[in-house]
Amino acid sequence: MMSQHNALNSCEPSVQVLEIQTSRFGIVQVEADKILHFPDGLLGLPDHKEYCLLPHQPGSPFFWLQSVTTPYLSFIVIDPLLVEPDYLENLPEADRQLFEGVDRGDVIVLALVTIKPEKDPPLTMNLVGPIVVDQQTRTAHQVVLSSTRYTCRHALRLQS
Amino acid sequence: MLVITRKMDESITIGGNIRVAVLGIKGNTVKLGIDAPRQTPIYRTEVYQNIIAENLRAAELPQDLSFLDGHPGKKEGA
Repeated sequence: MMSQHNALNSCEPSVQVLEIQTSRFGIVQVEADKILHFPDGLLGLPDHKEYCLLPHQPGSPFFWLQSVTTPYLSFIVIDPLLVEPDYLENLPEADRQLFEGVDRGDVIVLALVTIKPEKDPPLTMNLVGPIVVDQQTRTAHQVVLSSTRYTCRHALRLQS
Repeated sequence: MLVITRKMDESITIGGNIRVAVLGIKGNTVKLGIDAPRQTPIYRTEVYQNIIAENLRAAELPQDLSFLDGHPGKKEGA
């Protein structure tokens, strides 16, 4: 039971631990209160409502958004503010309302990352449809910005 | 599809609490104003469809994830 080596597994006996089947990592253990609930799913995937966040690698800015119920359904996500620190400031007021609580740390923002090795750049992130997570309730929504400042395929360039 | 003709400053009501008004018409551009409950998502259809398509692209991950090695950083770094 203790074979998992990811950072999410602290040993708190009072918290229920779920075993989640994944295509990429086999069985992963996640504390029940770490599950993210998407009442509406992601756009185009309304039936998948529960995900967990798994670190990609120690020190990596990337995480996996892994479906709890569908082993093969997973995404790479990143905090877009690591790449675009002015992301929210650049948005019009109507859009900024979608991110209420980010400045207080009550809400976190994630951007879905697309990897297409044959494209240039191979890494892009979706800054039109970011994911907003309420840390307290673990409820998450994919919101749609009205601003046309950003695109679904915002270049994501890394340095080694 | 229900088709309704409206003039400038006229509106339609959808259900009990959504109102869509024609605020301006210029050439082939129509400016719409929408009153709806805060929790009602309103999308430009093509943006909505782009996001769906991009979500499905993002779910197709390659075997080789070496593209994820590294950190986002400022361009002036060495």
